[in-house]
Amino acid sequence: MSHDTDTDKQRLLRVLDAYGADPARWPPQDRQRLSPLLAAPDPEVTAHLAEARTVDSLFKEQEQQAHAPSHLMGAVLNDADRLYGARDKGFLFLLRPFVGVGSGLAFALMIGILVGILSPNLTVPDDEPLLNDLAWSDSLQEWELGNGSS
Amino acid sequence: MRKTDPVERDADLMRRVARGDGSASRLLAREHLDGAYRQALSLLGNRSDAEDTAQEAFLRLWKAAPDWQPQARIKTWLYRVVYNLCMDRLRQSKRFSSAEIPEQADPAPSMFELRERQQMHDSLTHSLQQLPARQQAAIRLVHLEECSGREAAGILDISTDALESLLARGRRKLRDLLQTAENRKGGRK
Repeated sequence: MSHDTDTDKQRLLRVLDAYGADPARWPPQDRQRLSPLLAAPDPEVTAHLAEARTVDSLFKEQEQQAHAPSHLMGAVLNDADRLYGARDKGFLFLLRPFVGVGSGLAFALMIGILVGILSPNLTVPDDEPLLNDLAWSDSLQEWELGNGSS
Repeated sequence: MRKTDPVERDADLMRRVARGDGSASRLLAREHLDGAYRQALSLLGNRSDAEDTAQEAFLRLWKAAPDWQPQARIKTWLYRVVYNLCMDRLRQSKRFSSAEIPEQADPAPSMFELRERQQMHDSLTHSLQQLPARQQAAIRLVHLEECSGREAAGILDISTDALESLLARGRRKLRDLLQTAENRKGGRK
């Protein structure tokens, strides 16, 4: 075995142990030079390759990985917004806390006006003089007399 | 179509973040938050600490946006910050637990811990957490977060040779741990 071939073999074993059996994961400078050696009938290479494949298969099973919770995403984006988000919006960002309250009040006002317009029967009719007379008369009898009843 | 240099693309995104462009910060968070969170979760083994760490790392990223220089990938920079923050936390917790908490922790896990373990640990995750932190981080970066060897070495601030040694030792130990777990399971049947 020449010195170069032996060096390459030692490097291949190290690469298999560190990066696994898939040449796509190897450092680019090793990929082309060492890939052909995988096919060589060398028992040491075969043993390292088999072991590397076993460990690689464990990582493949791990594909369903944890994701960051959505509230963390919200907090992270909030931080960015707090630092820079308001900068482009000029003085309008000062009004931001009042937007919710203001729109609520405006909505309530519109509802009030609408109810007032659409519900005329809710207002007290002014053609009820008798009720006022009853309220202001000194007694029921006086009221009855005033109304001409006996 | 012209392929843009990833370092330049990252720098452009950071400039947009600094200008208050919400779509740029959303894009960066979508690309890197999961990975940063997973790295922290793997090293710290605790969801709450992992969330704090990932948020802190992103806060530092946002703060760095106005002065960002196109010299490194955001991913490399961010994972390095996460790694350092995790190491600080681990060091602090070790110091705290040995010096200030005399009583032994209750060996029986609480319901919450059990649930958390159940959700978080399959056998690989559990075995990964038994590796030394540097081996664990190296394996996670290269095999689970798709970092190149050079990127991972940069994140861990070590040479590529040292990274390869960490990876080889970590993979060997991982295989042994999983083998032992399998044997134990087989023996129980």
